[in-house]
Amino acid sequence: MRRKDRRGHKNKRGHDDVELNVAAMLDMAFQLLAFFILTFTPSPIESQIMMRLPTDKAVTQAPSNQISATDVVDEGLVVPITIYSTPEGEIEKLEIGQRVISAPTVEELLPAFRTALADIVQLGSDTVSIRVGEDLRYERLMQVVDICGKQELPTGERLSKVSIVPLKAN
Amino acid sequence: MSSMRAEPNLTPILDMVFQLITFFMLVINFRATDFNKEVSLPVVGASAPADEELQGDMLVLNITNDGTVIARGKPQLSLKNFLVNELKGFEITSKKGEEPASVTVVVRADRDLTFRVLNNVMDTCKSVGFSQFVFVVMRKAKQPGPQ
Repeated sequence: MRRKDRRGHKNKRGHDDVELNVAAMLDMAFQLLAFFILTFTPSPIESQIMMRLPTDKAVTQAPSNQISATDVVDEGLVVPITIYSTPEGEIEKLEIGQRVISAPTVEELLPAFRTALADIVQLGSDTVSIRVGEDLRYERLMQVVDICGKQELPTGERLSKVSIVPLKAN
Repeated sequence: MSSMRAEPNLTPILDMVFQLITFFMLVINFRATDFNKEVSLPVVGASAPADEELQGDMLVLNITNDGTVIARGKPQLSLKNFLVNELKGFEITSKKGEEPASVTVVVRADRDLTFRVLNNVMDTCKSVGFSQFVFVVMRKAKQPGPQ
């Protein structure tokens, strides 16, 4: 005799419906869900600045007037940047080579620095060496480094060769 | 008198749970122990150059504003010893012939840290043999409107 299904229709093949018990699977799925919810820690989107290590190579001043703000080493033109810091860790003034950049506030200083650096990078320098006052806050340093990293070289590439050395107090 | 069994249909709820599990599996970050939440990262300008993909092994150093270096989830009182052991570990696990210099030190330093402390940490890393550094920063949200 043919069995009837739930709707009262006759089952053509005449054998029982196979009912998968999903309750067990649901239990396991909830366990997994609980684990992932409890271990979930949303991390903020962070960015990276890659940098090569400070070298011990001596930097010498360039004789040319045209590139007076740059130094010359064996492998090419290096832009020497000096960051003087206040005891509180803020930027006191910036120097690109011999050129001093100062402003009443950091918010005004950094755009001025960006403009001055862009002019110098266009002369063909592809490397920046930053001498940093030892009291400078890390955030200020990274802001300067970030500005350097955004400079576009005449070749169309970004300036990526940045080294950092401490500015020794005289 | 026949009694009717009420069977809830579990299929939709199972579908939904699997969707949630898939989501959490995709976003889970097993490296969370490397990221210390005491460290307030510096905030830099908005328009970022494209981040380079990090190649090779990474060693994450969290540096708090008092100069404490936290790595592998705990403060490292003797940084040099820790770095020496880490470098040995990388050399053992690295493929034959691969230079240990391919290990990148990821620096997550507090925004108020002085350069003096940062430089000491970098010098220690350098003395041990690490030569490649990455500094982690936060980017400002882009401002709408013309630049």
